Amino acid sequence: MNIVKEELRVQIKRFLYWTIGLGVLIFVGTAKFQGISGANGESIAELMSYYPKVLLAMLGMPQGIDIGTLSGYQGILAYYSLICVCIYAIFLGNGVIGREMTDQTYEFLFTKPRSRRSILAWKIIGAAIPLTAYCILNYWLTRMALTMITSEEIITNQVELYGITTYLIGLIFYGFTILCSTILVKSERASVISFALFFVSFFLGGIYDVAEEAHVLRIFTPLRYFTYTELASNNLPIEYLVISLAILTLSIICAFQFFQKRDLL
Amino acid sequence: MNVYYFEVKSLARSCFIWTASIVMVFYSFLLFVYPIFEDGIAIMEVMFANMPAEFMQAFGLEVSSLLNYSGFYAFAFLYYSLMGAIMATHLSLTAFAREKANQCEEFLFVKPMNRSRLFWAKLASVATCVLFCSVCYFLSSIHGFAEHGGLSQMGVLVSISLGLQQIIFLCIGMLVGVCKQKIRFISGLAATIGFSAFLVQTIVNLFEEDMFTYLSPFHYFAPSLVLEQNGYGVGYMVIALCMVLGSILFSYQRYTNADIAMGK
Repeated sequence: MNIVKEELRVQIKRFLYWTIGLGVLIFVGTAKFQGISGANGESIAELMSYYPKVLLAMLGMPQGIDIGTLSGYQGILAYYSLICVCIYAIFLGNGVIGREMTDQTYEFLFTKPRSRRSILAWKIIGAAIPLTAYCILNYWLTRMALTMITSEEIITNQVELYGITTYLIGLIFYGFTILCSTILVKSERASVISFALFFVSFFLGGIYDVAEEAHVLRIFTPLRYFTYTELASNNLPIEYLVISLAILTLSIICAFQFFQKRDLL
Repeated sequence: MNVYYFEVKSLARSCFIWTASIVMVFYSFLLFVYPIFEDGIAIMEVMFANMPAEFMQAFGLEVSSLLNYSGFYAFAFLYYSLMGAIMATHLSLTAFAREKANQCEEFLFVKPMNRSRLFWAKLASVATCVLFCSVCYFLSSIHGFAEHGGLSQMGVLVSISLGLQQIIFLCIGMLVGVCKQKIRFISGLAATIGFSAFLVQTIVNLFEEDMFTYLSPFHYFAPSLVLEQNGYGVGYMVIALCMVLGSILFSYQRYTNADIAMGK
């Protein structure tokens, strides 16, 4: 438990900054919807349908999304929150092992009467708490923001699905980053690789939206595991749910394996 | 000069990788995405022509400016600028905070060279790398314009945009690197700064008010604005210049006077 407490103490300040950023994004974004829909929601939908798909994808609006409706608009905002959550998750994942490594304090930690396994387990839990809190806040703030505006559309289901899937994708990046930092000797390199993966996923996401025959790509793009069209029609793609859980479990199990055998450097 | 050569050498690898990936992304957009866009142009022109004029005015859309290579470029620039920003931040953070992250500032500062010369040498080396990237990008961007519809004065201006934007992010990276007490993961910090700027840009776009665009560095030299106003905005240039000079002065002051950060 002490490890968890220490982890939380270290994270609290950064957590507040990130929450403020997310809050501004969600509230400003949602408030702006009133302007769009109030003015001419109908005509926007019409205009958007004329835009080439490429342009929309490049603007971060995947196919089939209609920003004139509350549901489509929320879908775009949720994509930006997802970016926030993923970056934050990579940050936390890096800190789990990387922090002690860059500070060269692992020797001190390993002299404590705890096995490596339990140290890693508590550390993973400790850093997962802020991530979980962040995702819950993401969901809650979105709900709050939606109560501010008046709209006949009811999208509670969609918001819930987005909340869950955002958390899942965040966890994938979290697990993957932890795995990287247990395998690689230099923690700086682990952070480079995780961010590179995120970047590639970000770009591939754009390509995925443009290319119609690119369904193979989807497995390599965690950011596109759960797309707007699926979530808005209230169905959660089970295969990708399974894939994400599998990636998460696998990376955590492997992380434990590698961490056991790690040399102190 | 030793410091300068050392820094350039240690930044060179990541500078090459970044430059290569920016140029690669540029050409893959040009070769694979632009043809799809081009196919859509004819259809869209017909559709826009059939719409009432008031309807188009309501959105303030200059159709002709969207439906050509420049319009495409303005959209695609979002990706290049994001990469360029992270690159510049990453390089300047590496140069200015490497010793802090490795906790070996003492070793650098006991060398017989005063801190102000250290500072200028580091700044010069980062600037060299960023300049290299900007020139490479400039050439490929010019090539892109020449291939599609001919090179105009605007094309040249817009091609410089990335370099100017990188200078701003270089300064942001430097400021953070010099001022932040404790730095652990340089690349993580750089990615966070880059993506935060990206999110700020999104939020500012939502506001649709010119006043807020000054908060977002991505707006200063954005091709969409340059094409709209036929040149760089004077206000943005002044702000950017102030930011650059201010952050250099402040970082210099900080770098030459600050205590060595002790591990907390």
